[in-house]
Order: sequence, then structure tokens, then C-alpha cells
Amino acid sequence: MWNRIRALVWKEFLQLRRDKLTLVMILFIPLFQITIYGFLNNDVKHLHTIVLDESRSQESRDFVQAMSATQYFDVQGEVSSEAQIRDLIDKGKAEVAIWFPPDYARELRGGGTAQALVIVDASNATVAGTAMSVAFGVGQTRSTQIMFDRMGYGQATKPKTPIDLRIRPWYNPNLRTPNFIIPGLVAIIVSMTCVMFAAASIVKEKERGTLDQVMVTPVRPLELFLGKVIPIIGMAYAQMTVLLVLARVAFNVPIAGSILLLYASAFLFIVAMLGVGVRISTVAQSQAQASQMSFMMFLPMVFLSDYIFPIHGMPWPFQVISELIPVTHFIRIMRAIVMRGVGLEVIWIHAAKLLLFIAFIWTIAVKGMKRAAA
Amino acid sequence: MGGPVMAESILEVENLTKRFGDFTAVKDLSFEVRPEEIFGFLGPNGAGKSTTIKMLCGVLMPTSGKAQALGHDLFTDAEKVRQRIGYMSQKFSLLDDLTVGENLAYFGQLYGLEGEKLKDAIAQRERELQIKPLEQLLVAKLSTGEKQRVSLAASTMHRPRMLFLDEPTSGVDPLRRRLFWEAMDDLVLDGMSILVTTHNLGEADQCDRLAFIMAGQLMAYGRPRALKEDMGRRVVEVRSERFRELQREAALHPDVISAELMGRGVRLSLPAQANPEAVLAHLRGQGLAFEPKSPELPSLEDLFIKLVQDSRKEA
Repeated sequence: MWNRIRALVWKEFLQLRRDKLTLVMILFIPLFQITIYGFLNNDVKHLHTIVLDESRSQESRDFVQAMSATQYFDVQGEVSSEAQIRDLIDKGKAEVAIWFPPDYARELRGGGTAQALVIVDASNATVAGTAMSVAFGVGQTRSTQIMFDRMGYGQATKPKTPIDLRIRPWYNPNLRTPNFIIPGLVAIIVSMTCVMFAAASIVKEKERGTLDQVMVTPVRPLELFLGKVIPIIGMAYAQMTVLLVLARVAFNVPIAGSILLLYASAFLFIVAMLGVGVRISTVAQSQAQASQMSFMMFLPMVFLSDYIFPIHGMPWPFQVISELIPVTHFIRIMRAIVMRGVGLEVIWIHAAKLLLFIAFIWTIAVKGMKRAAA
Repeated sequence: MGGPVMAESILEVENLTKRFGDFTAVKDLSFEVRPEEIFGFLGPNGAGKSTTIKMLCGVLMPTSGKAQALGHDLFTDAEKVRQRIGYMSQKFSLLDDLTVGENLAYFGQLYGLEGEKLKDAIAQRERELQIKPLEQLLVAKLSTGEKQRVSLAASTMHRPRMLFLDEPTSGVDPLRRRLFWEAMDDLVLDGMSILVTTHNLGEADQCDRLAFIMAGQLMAYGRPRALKEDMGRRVVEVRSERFRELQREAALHPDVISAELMGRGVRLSLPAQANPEAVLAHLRGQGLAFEPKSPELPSLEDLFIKLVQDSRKEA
């Protein structure tokens, strides 16, 4: 039995070695994606900022200084009119403008309320949201300080701030994108390999009639099946390893938890996705159909799996679909192990859901194979 | 040929039937293949030849019927038989992206050959079918004739007792065709039995026995000579300058079943009991000069056409 399986696996690798395009895709798609997503930054620091300072005072310069100190605002220069602000923001050369009216310093010195205007280009909602909350924070801090000064407190007797709010971003203290993206990316790429490869390579043999020639040999269906899936499992693990090594070396994303547990749970996920691929192969009549069907699977995988977009904010039907697709659970497992470093006590529930999915998909995949054979 | 095992059969098929939905592809087919014979399987396209072969090779399950090969039931005991049968499909199902040598090694391994045994088998096959020079080439680069020989090599790596060939010579030139049949003869001398499907009636004549099937049913079955005799006809070819007039006149004669133009002559089909000389004398009486060949048996082509025409009349 093992000799025949070895022959079948050996043949798959020979074919793969000759198929340069596929080989390149297997290796380069992960590299390509990790490079793009790894450097992808939704960090909104260093926004281009311009200043219209009609007050021309120490007070206005202090405020600009405080804004720059947050690193969110990079002051590009001063402008001299409202028209210029509009022009620069229209052209996309500035994202934020700070405007001090002529009486800004006078009002402050006289104990009144000084106004300052912060204009934000809100065409990108994420950028605008961050810019506004940071600017608001700076304004509040400055106001409190000035209020203490007006109440006549000296440096030594300054009252304590009533609430000292400290924020700790756990598991990803620097809020780096790669830490968040890479575990999801591994899941997406592994599932692409399993679904597309399984479907395409089985359908290809159906199309060419090479399966018939093998079915007349003493090879048993189970051996044929293992000969087909073992190379794909190997490829999936190879891709996963490449990605994780690259994540560690190039993007400094360490694996906090057990690598063994990570690879073991990946096996469940690979088997689940292979089931999808095999099921597609029993329905698809041609390679083109198989790849279209595989492709259809990827939209929900990318959008509803918590990979990039948080699922909790979506309407409940999407949340239900999200629960049903295996990628969601594997991404949760990956993040739990890679980022939080937790173990079986946390991931067992997701592993169990993957098992349920495996039972379901393989039941219908085997039914499909039997129907195709009859 | 001959030998004491003559009576025993290698393959026995009984009432084999295959339905796809409402369509009956093969209906109540029964025949046997004897040891060391080339058994021809003939029929028009879509007659059910490939379906039958696929069932006999265990690729397709029959709807009903029985088949025994080498003493085992083909459908319930398939695994025991597979090691001893070989199959070469219409499409030469070799792996295009592997070399000839890799293909042979692959199929050899699937039949359980390993190490020295595998090497010996590959070397022997390459020698017999003269494909040694192709060993390093990708199958995709081969000509049809080469693919066909490599396919035969691949499907006989394990020296099966019974070999099924599904239209092995379609699309190759007459020389390659003849070489292929010589290779088949060698295999038979080696103790193999072969069931071969073909459209080529010249090839059918070289078979030891034949089965004609049409619309999934057996229409004629036996030795080529016996089948021709059973048609109950004689054929006379006559050559004449005035072949068109001759054809017209002959067709009017009550004893002539058909008169077909053949080059600058006419081919007359007569019932076996009719007297050819009387027919020829009648034609001479019409003032037509010609030189007849001696009467002979109808060809398999005559039989094939008759069977097709008969089945159309019934339909």
C-alpha cells in the first residue's frame, strides 16, 4: 500500500516540478502578499498639517508645538489666507489645518475664551477620526493647564489631576499592523492552496482521462486519495512555514504560544479546506469551472472571517455566516496562539467547530465522489 | 495457438447491461475470450464498445450481468484480477508532463514493481517496443505513433494475462499500424490474450475472433471467416470499360443483392446459392464485355454495412 502511495506522491511532485508557473505561484503568492500586507500601515501618524496663524503670538506657537509633539501632526508650513487652506486641502497636499484668529492670544491673556479651529480632511474616515480625537485631547490638556495658571496655583501647589487614565494595548503594544494581519494571512493563503489545488488537480485528471488509467491498476481508492492529498498537505505546511519564518525575520512578529499546537490545529484546518476542494472537484466539469468555484469561496473568506474587518460590527446574518466558515475559526486559533500565546484551554472551542465542519464537508464530498464513480 | 488449454476461457461475459438513466448503452452482452487469442470488438461509434471495456476493467460498474476473468468475478473480486489485466484507453492516458521513463516507472510501481524488477521490466518494454531512445522525452512531445507504443508499454509493465485495448490504432499511419499489430502478436505469443476495439476492418480480419456490436447489442460473433460464410453471399468483381452501364444492368438482375462501383469495375453481391456464371452470362447477353475475377467470400466491410443497414430497417 505505501509503495503505491509513494509512487502517486512522487508523480505529483514530478508534475509540480515541471509546472513552473504553479511552482512560482505557490512560493511567490505568500511572499508577495506578506510583503504588501506586512508594510501596509493603517497608522495615521505624521499627517500633513498647515497653520494659518493670524494671532502671531507665543500662545499660538505653543499650541502648534504641543500638536507636533504628539507626532500625529507634521507641520508643513504656514499659510496666509483661508483660500490657501482650501486650496491645499482640495489638492490633497494637506490633511489638517490649524487656524488661530487674530484675537487668540488677547483672549487668553485677558481671561476669556480663545477660539482655535482645526480643519480635517474627513474623506478618509479613519484618518479624520484619529486626527480629531488627538487634536481634542491636546486642546483639553492645554485648557486645563491654563485654567490652573489662572486660578493662581504655582508650580508646587498645582492640584492633582483627578483621573489618571492609562491605556495599555495588550498583545500588540505598538499597535503594529503585521502582528494583526499575518496570522490571518496564513489562514487565507493555506485555504487558497488547499481548495484550488485539490479541485484543480483532480479535475485536470478527470479532463485528461488519466484517472481511468490509474483505476484499472491495483491502486485502491483510498490510496489514490491519499496520493492526491498528501502533496497538498505538504505544500500547505510549506507555505505556512515560509510565512511564519518570514513574519519572524522580516516583520518581527514572534509566535508567543506553542508552535506544535499551531501546526496541529493547522492540520484540522487543512483537512477542512481540502474537503471543500474535493467537493468542488466532484461538481466542476472543467478546470475553468473549478477555479471559478474556488474563487467564489474567497470573498466570504476574506470579508467575513475577521481577517481585516471586525465581524462584531456587521449585521447578524453576516455574523452567522462568519461562524460557519472554517477560516474564521482558524484565524481565531492563529491569533490566540501567535499573539496571545494561549493554549488548548482557549482554542479547543474553535478546534471543535473545525471538526464539525470537517464532518459535514467530508460527508458531502464523499457522497459526491461516490456519485461521480457510479 | 493451440495447446491443451484451448477449451478454458480467459474472460467470460454474461448478460452484461449498463444503463445511464433512460439510455441503455450496453444490453445483454454475452461473449468469451479464449487464451492466447486476439479478440476483435467492432461496432460503429457510440455502439457501447468503450463502455463495455470500462466495465470489464472495473472503471465502471455494470447495471446488471456477470463477468469472470481468470477465474475471478470481475465485479465482486475486482482487486484480485487487476494485477493480471491491463488496459490501454482510447486517449493514451499517459501523463503528458512526465517523461517516457517516468511514466513507465510510475505505472510499474502502481502494479507493485520495485527496484531491480522495475528496472528490468522498463528495459524489456523499451527494447520490445523500440522506445528506448524516447526515454528522456516528455510524453507531450511525442507523435501519436510513439505515444501509442509507450501506452502499450505502460499498460503491460506487469505482464497481464488479459489485455484490453480501446482503439489503440486510431489516428496512426498504416506502417505504424502494422508495427503495432506485430507488437500485439508478440504479446500473444508470450501468452497474453487481447481484446481490441477497432474501426479498421482490415485489422478486424487479423483477429482470431470477432464480436460486432451495435446500439449495445451483440449482432455477430465468431471467426472472421465463419462470419463471412454465415452472411450467405458470394462476391464477384468485374472490370469493364463500360462500368456504369454494367452497374445499371446488374442492379436490375433479380439475383443481384447489390452492385457497387469499385474503381473501373463493379462489385456484385449474390446469394450463396445463386449461380454466378448465370448472372455473368446474362450480362454478356446485354452486349457488355468484361473480365470477371473468381467469386469470393464477402468482406467484413460487407458484413458491417449489412448489419448497419439491417438495424436501420428495423428502426
